[in-house]
Amino acid sequence: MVALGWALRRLAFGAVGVVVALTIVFLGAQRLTDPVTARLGPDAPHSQVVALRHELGLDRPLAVQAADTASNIVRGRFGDSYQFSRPAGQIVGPAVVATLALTIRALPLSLAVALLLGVGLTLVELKIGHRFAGTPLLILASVPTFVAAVLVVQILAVQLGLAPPSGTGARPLAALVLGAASGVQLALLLGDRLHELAREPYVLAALTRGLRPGAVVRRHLLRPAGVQLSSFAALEAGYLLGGALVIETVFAYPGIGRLAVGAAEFRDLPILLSAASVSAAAFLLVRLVGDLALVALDPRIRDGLFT
Amino acid sequence: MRLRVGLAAASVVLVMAAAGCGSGSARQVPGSSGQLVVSMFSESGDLVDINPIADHIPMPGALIYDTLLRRTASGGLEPRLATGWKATDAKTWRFTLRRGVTFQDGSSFDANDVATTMHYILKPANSSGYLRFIRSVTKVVVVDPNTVDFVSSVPNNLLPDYVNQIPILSGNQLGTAHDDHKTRLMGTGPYALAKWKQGESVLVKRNDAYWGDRPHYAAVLLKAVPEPSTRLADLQSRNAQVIADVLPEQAKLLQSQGASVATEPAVETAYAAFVQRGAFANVKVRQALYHAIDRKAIVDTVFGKYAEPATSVVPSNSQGYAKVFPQSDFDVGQSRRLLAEASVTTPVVGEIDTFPSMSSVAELVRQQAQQAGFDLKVTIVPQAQLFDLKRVKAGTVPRLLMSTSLDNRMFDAYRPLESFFGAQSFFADFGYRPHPDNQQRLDSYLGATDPAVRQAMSMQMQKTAQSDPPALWLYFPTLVYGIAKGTCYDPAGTGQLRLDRLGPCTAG
Repeated sequence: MVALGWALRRLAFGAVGVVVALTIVFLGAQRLTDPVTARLGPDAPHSQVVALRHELGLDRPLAVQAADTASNIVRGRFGDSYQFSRPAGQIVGPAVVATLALTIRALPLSLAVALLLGVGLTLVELKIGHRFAGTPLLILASVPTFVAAVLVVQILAVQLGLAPPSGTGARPLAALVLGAASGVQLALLLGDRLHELAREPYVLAALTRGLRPGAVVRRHLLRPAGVQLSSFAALEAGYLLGGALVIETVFAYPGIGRLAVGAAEFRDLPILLSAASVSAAAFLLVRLVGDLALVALDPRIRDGLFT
Repeated sequence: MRLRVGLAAASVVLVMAAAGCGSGSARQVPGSSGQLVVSMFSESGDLVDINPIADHIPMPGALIYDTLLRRTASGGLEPRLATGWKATDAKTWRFTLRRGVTFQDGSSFDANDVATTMHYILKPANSSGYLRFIRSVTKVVVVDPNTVDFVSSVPNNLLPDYVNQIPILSGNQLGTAHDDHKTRLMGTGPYALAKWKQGESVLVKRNDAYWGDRPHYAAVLLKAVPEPSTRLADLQSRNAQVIADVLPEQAKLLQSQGASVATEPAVETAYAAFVQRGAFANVKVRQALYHAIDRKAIVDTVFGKYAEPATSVVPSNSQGYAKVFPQSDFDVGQSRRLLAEASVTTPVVGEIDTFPSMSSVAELVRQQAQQAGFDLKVTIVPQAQLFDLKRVKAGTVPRLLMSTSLDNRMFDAYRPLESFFGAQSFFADFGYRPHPDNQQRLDSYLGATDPAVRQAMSMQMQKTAQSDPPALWLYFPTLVYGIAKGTCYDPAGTGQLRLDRLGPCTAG
């Protein structure tokens, strides 16, 4: 019951967060390009410019536009896309599904990479008694995603023919790059956490007692480090659900990132607001799930969270 | 030990999961299923939108729809949905329509469809990019089911040249309240829409009831691939037989790998518009920059043979071409003299705003201008924001707005001349005052039947731009396509990929 109340409070705060995010998007978008010029081009007939400005409601005072937009959003309507003259939901929906499908594949990969590199390298470090893993991980993390993506296309798609280089067929490759890139970041954080824990007296005592490093990691480090990892993973999932522009561009993947950036170029407010709502809500939801996972992993946290 | 085994197993699973969870066969064998795969961007857009009236998706549009007429390789027009066309008076063009043509839903095509399509385009609220093609048309009159008249406000001898770009939609479909035509494309063309994956691809299948020649390919998949290296990978991995928007360095690579490279003539003009404030308000400074830029060197460096230096506002294969800007006008000494006459402080500080795909050109312009006494900073902005007035008007620094635009598949100078130099010139927003005689010259151009008159009008208007430059015209980028080994393309010279000229190579 306490947990339910806590979850409801979190959802209420989340709703407030979404409203704040949408307000920021609405106000920020006013500084972007004029959607009428962007859509019609600089040499469009004046009559067409006037007609489109009126049709989009951009000839009304900003306060009226804001009130109208808010009232529509409350009723679940984001309006017609400025660029495409179709309901924003029809355009954002498929992109959200595509991004979700990519995230679902990338996230487990990210966690696997994080565990593999973070735990594996820490294990080696404990064995040889010298810390070195941070450097190779930092080098890996500093490889630009674009370069990694192009390399993956060339090697796995062109040379080995494992998957098509573009479109939804390229999802495994896109997920591989996205998951690996995110996994290396998580591995860095996990490695740091494992090292912090490795300096704890109870861990040192275990090592002194002659317990093998593998057993130390398994018995004493993985669970507390996992708490932190699940927290980072929740943040990462929220980030991935917001779309990965570089990956989506290189693999011609029709996700929310490319759509949102295109919408920002055209100041396509209905698309921007719709995409921001989905991203913000997904982020908050994933955080909530992440927190619940934390509680499951470490009951000591429960009191702190639920009070 | 168990942990090590676990880690090793996890790595295997990782690689398998990443590589092995693809969708069936990764390589599509070209031609084996009668399906052609084309990977492109500029002619398809991002395929988030497939609205045929918006004019930015010529490629799926050309497969699904027919036009009244079609441009030939020699620059003439050939019948399509119209079998005949003639001027019945100075302001009226009459088109006789083909009989027995049906839309892909089985309904018959007639003059009502033409009139409804044109009236839809003419309504400004419908935001059609084709409106500017037929802006002079006041009404379209159905004479009988097979005859339609286009009535213009002024004599317009170019109307057939511009109408040939416009797809004809079903009047019934345009009349529906749900804007069906924006998502369920339906025309009279050689292919019918089979599947649209928003933001990714369009699949069209052969229209067996097509009135014209049977298309070679049973199906065509058009993929929107924005990244050039991925388009290249599509061809290299045999996931596409044709890729568009090939970069010059990629063309060499493709040829070395056994693929071929085909070109179609330029449909765009690359230019840099002056925002006339600060030093750029001074005509001598603008002329000085004109002499500081070596267009041929830019083309040679960036494009090799895949572009042509601009010697006019349209390429030399266009109607109304007049060679006004000779390449020999590059003269750093003259540029410096003009700056001295302008009595401005040197270096002249300013900005070049452009979008990412033109950044290398902007950098070359910056370097060349520096030799003559300009200090220009290159700023990269998204393409859609380049001409945003709020952005452009912010600040006081003189600016050049560098762009390629004005798709001109009509290969005629009227539209660029009107946009650049007419009374409604969009350069006016940046401080340019068109010559007062230009509108009269444009009307004369439109109404002329003699090509020599058009060329003379074009020359006069461009000369005014030489003495008071609103922009620098830089080059015409050629359209470059990569064609997979075993597939052959016979270029049409029409500035667009023509699938009826594409097929498996035959011996000899």
